[in-house]
This record gives sequence, structure tokens and C-alpha cells, in this order.
Amino acid sequence: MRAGLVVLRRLGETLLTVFLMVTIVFFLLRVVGDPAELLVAPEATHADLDKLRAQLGLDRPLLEQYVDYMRSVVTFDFGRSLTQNRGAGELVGEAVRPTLELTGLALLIGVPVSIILGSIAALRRGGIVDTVTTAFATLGRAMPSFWLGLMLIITVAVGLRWLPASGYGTFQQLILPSVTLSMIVIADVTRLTRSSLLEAYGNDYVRTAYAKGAGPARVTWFHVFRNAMVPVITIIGLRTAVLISGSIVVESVFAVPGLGWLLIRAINRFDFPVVQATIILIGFLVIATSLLVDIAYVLIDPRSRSVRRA
Amino acid sequence: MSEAHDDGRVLLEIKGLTTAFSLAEGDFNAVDNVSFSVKEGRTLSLVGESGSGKSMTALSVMGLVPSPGKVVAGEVLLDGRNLLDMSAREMRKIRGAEISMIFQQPTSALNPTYRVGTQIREVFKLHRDWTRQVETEKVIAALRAVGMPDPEARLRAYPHELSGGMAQRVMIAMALACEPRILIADEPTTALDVTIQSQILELIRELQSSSDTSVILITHDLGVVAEMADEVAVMYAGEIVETTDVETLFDEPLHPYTKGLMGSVPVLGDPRPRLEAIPGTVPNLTELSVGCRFASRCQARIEAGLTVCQTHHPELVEVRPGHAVRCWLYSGQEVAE
Repeated sequence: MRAGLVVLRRLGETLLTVFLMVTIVFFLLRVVGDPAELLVAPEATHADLDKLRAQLGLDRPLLEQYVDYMRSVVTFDFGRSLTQNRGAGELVGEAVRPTLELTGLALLIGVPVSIILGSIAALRRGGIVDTVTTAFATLGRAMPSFWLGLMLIITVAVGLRWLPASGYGTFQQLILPSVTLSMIVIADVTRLTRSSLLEAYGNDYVRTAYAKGAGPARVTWFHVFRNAMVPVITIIGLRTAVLISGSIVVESVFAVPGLGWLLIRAINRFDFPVVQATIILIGFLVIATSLLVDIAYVLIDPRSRSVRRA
Repeated sequence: MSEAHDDGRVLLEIKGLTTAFSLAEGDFNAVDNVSFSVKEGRTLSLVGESGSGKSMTALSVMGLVPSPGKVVAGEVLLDGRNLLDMSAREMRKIRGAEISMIFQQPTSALNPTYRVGTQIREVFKLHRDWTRQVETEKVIAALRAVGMPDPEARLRAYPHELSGGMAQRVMIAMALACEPRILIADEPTTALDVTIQSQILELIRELQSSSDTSVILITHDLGVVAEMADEVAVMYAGEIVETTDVETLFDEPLHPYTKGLMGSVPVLGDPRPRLEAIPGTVPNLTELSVGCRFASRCQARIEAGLTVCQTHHPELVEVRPGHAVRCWLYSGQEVAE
């Protein structure tokens, strides 16, 4: 297949995925609750409620609402928030920045740390770093983010007073939530880096490299490392998707006004347009991540190029 | 196989080489007191079944015995220098430059993530102090020498884009790039199609004669031995059981195991209804008997009524100049019970 066709096909797949996602979210939301009931004053009558529903367009047939909504989404109009007098797209646009900063910083911390730790563990198999790292990684997997976040707040922020406990705006405020999030990456990627390196050492080309006169350092970093990174990249990509959704929890713990924070508040208030817009954006981010992984894959492993072409 | 070479200078001499492994299942010597020598410009073939220790012998010479194996005794003399005494750094200068090695699976022996040209260039980076431009010229020359069509373009190919035969040509180009004095070829054609096999063997022979490189050819294929070898060492269970020149081996094999190997080879116009297989399997190296390692599979021993085979280990004895065999049938008379 030609490269252009591959890109086109991927784009088509992406659009279809987003379309299905939006559809599911749209109907699911309308099953769970009625925003009008939350919006009216407690003493409101049924007539008031009906009036509000009509105003919001919630009294129309579901399918009609759906078609209408899809029509406006295509033109990037996500409707207005039901609880705040602002556009849903505008709210989401504001919230995306903290989330991207958090996940970006979490990756910036998590990826190098896990690759370095995993490499040391593999090179010094059975050594102290290996033992500690394995224990650490297992612990990291078992530990829920909200708990780790709270522990960090108690020790680093409240106890030691080194960093602020919550909020958003300064770099210091980003550190604790990012470290918390980065555990999602470190736990898996460290172990995978280790096992992937060890596995790559068993390959025939390693023997060839030694037979050519290469030393252990060259064999490791020139020959083995690049091959070992192929599965690691895949997992980093998958973990990034988890990071973006995982930030929902972490943002709540640290009161960071990101997508997760926005989403939870919108769900609590049945603010349909905002929930829908947030989900669409998160979906896009996840899909964009997998696209990036595919590109990285092609750069690092030449075999994946011709598999596409074949 | 020309007569002029008969008294060629010994380039590599291996004496009493022993490589031991210590595993949970027990300790054993994968290579046990192996001695042979390789003359300049000649081909020595190590023949045997899988597990006979022929590959491990080669890796021991290269100093690349995989952990937990260890060379525990012997000497590997290249021009009189014992490679086993060399430091890791000194050995790196030998590998790829003075002794090179090619392997059975050429496609997996190449690194899948680097271009062919990069991988050949690496040998120059390791052993030569050349500019990038000179390196590129030499890479192209090396590919041309192994008959790679369109070498300027092929150096940009990745291993997976090559056929097995082409990949083995690349391996040979890489191995011979620094004009080593010894090429160790470990089953170089086993994974290839029959037609490609003969092309690769032909290529090795051509390059050998034009450069006077010595070859250690490891194979289980007696057809390959007949075509390529000058001298042959037959290995069984970690030991050399018979060693001689190739004509003598085929005309007058002495060891029952060697004869058994000959019997299991199909020959055109063969009157035999079936090929004769050697009964039994290679013994487990951790549970060797005190006697001859082949005794349990040996028909000749039963026919000759020898009992010494199961109680005493035979030595490799020279029965005539240049022909040694490890078998009581030929030296049994001298044994003191």
C-alpha cells in the first residue's frame, strides 16, 4: 500500500472512531439524568420545568436532538454550557492546557526514569537496583493514583512544606500531580524495558556483533537497545492514553482545573454539552497518541515500514 | 586440495581445548580435550551431529562461549600467540579482523534495525581508522566481492528486504571486510535452499583462494565436507573421534561413528533399499559412562566382542601419519586391564 493511502485509511478510521464515541456518549448521557431538574429552583413547578426543557431543546425527540448536535459538531460548535453562560468548546479549550502540561511532565519524568531504571536492572540482573526496581514497580502498579497523590500531599506538601499541595498556575504546583501520574508510566515501562532488553540479548545479531569485535557497551547501546525499544514504545503509547484519562483522578486530588476536573463537575451537573465536548477531546488526544506511536514505530523499526507496503 | 598446499604452515593450533558448563542438571564438558590445527589457506571441517560440540568449539576459539560456559583448559594458538591468555580488549581486536565468523541463520544474524551498509561499516569503525568516504567505498567493494548485484543501492537495504542467500552474502562480506586470516563458518548453508547452498559454498571457496584465508567449516552435511574440506575432524559428544584428510575420510573411514555417518548419506544409484541410521541418540553429556562415549550405539563393538569399550575411555591414537582415531578397535591390543 502507498504511504498516502495508509494515511487516508488511518484518518478514516479515526473519524469513524470519534463518530461512534460521540454517539455513544450522547445517548448514554441522556439515559442517566435530566439537567433541567438540577437547574431550576427547588420551588419550581412542573410548568417551569417544561419551559426550561423546551428552552434547552430537551423536549424534542431524541433522534432529532442527536442529528442537530452532530450537525453542529461538524462545524466545531459544541453548544453552550447548561450551567455556565459560556460555550462548551471554550471551557474545554481552557481546561486542556493543564491536562496536557500534567501528562507531558509526567511523561518527561516517567519515560527517562523507567528506561534508565529498567536498563540498570537488566544490565545488573539480580543486583540491588534490579531487586529494588522490581519491588518498586510492583508497588507502583498496586498503588492507586489517588492514594499516592494523598500520600505525597501529606508528606511533601503538608509535612515538609517543600511544594504546594494543590491548585494550578505555577510550575511548583504541577510537580506533585505530575509525579503521581508518572507512576502510571514508571510501573509498567521499567519492567518492560528490563525484560525487553534481556530478551533482545538473546538474539542472533548480538553474537554477530561480538564476533565483529564490538565491546559490551557498543553491543548494548547500538545493537540491543534500539531493538528492545520497539515494544517499549508501544507500551509508552498505551500508558499515555491511560495518563490522559488517569489525570481525571489526579486532577481532582490536586484541584488542577484540567479536563478531568471539568468532566467530573460537568457530569455531576448533567451539563451535557460540556461532557460531550470533553469526551470528544479526550478521544482525540488518545487517538493522536496512538498515531504518534505508529510514527515512532516506523522510525525505529524498519520492518514495520514494509509490512505496511506489503 | 592442491598438492602444493600439503605442507602448508600451521596458522591456528588448538591444543587440549576444554569448555565446561555448570548447570542445574549437572556439570559437563561441551568441548572435551579437543586438539586440531588449521593450515594457512586450507579448510578444516568439523563434522558431527547437533550437540556434538562443534559450534561450541568455534565459539571457544572466538572467546564467545555463552554464560555459564567457560574454557577451562587448553590453548588456542594463532601464530603462536595464545588467544586464551589475551585480555578482553585484545580479543576484540582479533575478532572480526583476524578471525571472523558467519552463522547458520543469516537473516537473524543481522541486526533488523540497521541498514546492511551500516552493519558492514561497523567492522571498519571497530578495526580501521578510515574516513566515512573511504568506509563507504570499502563497503561497496565488500558487497561487490560477494557478488551482490547493485551494491551501491543494496547497502541501503534492511536485512528483512534480503533473501536468505543474499543475507548470507552480506554476512560473508562483513566477515571478510577486514581480510581476516581465519573464517569460521558455522553451518553457513544449512538454512538455505539447495541451489543457493552451492552458490554460497562456491563463493566461500572463491574468496578463500583469492585471499589465502583459512576456513573452519562446521557442518553436519558430509556432502558439504566432500565439496569444501581439506582436513576433517569428526566430533562426537564433545570429543574428536577421528581426524584425517578428506580423501582418506571418505575412502577409508575408521571410526564406527564415521562409518555410520557415511551410511546415513543418500548416494545416487545406491543399491541399498534404505539408508542406515545410527541406532540410538547422542548421550547426555552430564551422564557419560567411563568408557567410550559411542559404545552404547556401536555395532562394531558387539561384532568384535570388545568389552573394554564400556570400561575404559579410548585415546585419540594416530594409526598412520595424519590419521588419528579414538577407538579400541584400532588400539585395543595395547590396553592394560
